[in-house]
Amino acid sequence: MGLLHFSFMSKTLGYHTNVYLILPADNFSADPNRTYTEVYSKMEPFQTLYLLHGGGGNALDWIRFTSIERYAQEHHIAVVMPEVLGDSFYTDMAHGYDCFTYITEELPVVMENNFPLSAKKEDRFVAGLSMGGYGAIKWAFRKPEFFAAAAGLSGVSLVTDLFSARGFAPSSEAEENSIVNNCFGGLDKLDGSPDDTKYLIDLAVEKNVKLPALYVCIGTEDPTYRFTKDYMAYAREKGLEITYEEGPGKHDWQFWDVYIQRVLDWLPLKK
Amino acid sequence: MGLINYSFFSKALGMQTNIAVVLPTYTIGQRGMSIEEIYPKGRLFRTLYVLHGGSDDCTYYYRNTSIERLANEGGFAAVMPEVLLSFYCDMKHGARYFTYLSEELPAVVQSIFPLSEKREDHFVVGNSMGSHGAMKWALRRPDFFAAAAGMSGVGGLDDLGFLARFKEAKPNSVQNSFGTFEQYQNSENDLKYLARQLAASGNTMPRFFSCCGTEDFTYDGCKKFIEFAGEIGFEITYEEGPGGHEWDFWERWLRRIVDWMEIKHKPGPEHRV
Repeated sequence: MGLLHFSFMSKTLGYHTNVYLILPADNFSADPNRTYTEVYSKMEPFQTLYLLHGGGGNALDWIRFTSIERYAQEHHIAVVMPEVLGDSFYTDMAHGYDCFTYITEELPVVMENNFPLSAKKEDRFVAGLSMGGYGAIKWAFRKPEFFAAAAGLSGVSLVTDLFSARGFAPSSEAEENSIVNNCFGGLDKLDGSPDDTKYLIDLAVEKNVKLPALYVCIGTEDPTYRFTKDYMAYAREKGLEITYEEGPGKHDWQFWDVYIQRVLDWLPLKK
Repeated sequence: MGLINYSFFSKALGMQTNIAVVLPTYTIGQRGMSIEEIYPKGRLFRTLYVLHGGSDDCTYYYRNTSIERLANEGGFAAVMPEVLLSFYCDMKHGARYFTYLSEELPAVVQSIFPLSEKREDHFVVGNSMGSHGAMKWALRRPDFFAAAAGMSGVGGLDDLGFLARFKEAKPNSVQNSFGTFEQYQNSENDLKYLARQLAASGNTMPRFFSCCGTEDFTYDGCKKFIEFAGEIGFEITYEEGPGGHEWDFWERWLRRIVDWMEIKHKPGPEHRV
């Protein structure tokens, strides 16, 4: 149906933020004799994909760099694209904003209150790329009752490993103002916290949590490839079921434009 | 405060079109409330349709007035469509903007946004070409509106000085919208004709309001319409003040009109879905 830009004041963030919403169109030609009221009042609340941007990105990324509106139309699904600070890792930051609380507690209330989006668990999905892939999977683990399915593209890793010396550890002079410090309060604080993807797996297994359907994919030329492989190995060792795909590709939009379509095909959609 | 820009495919127009919508959302003053209290389930807003003037678009009101702040303070939604230079007509040569405006737009926004579907909760205002649109819409759909207001342009096209435009050899937006002057007279686009019909019908009327700046080139035409309304027994409130055909005037009078319309937030008893 169209593309909607929404700017509003977030209570949690304390500032005005942007959300883009794609609403799929009615098929006008199906029955040309219907009145406008008939066409529009019969709209069921849509199944909804929350789609998260990556590091350094914002709410417009998915629209600018993929054809997500066309794919959403083909799959008859609404897509909500919020934005958080580009280096927040969807956390309630140790030094910064409460991005995780905003995304998981305020955003869905605002969206479902103001737009025709289904409020049923079986109609809600989340996906994201890179930092947003981490955010999507984390959201699904921490609010498993909220989603039917979650997908992480090129960003699912054991984060303590990702930020360790073997991964993308900050140099010592940048440490105080580093992502790890600003988001998590340091690598030691991240370890075993609700932002720690390894801990979230352990917790879900220990408490036998019924998780949403999970999907992970990665390009074989992606510099984070081995981190995703390690995550998958750990999850499998713990007995978690995750749909996994890999294929030729880098950490770029060419890969995500293809794989977001695979995610949409994978989601349990009505149409 | 929430501002929405929405681009979608219109069935009536046969093309993509843009609207802007203001929805009251969280403000600092609501700091003590929970997210659920700020966004109560089933709440529906009163709606002010805001119609732009010639050469403007759906962004113009929020760029040139404080419509967003007004709507947030008053707890109502504002819906701003765009219609190019069509005078809100089903054009003689062009797209069906009146059908879009009066049939499709309300169906679209009421299905997507939390807006009341009740007549008592619907209002329309416009400036210049938009004042023609606002009056025309309410005169043709008196069952849809509680009140309608036009700023700087409510009147007959001849009285407002448009005869010359009808006579130009090269077809212009006035001709493309209305056809010839003869085709315009006593048509569904003629405010005088519509007012006479409605006054005679005995139907329930929305409240009507017109205002104009005393330095505005449409001033005489606006005054003539009020005289005409008096003659035929058509009830309309008229006010005037210093100012020209300009945003400084419309900003001030928009605030006056919102007060006159008495759009106050009233949580509707209706519930969505």
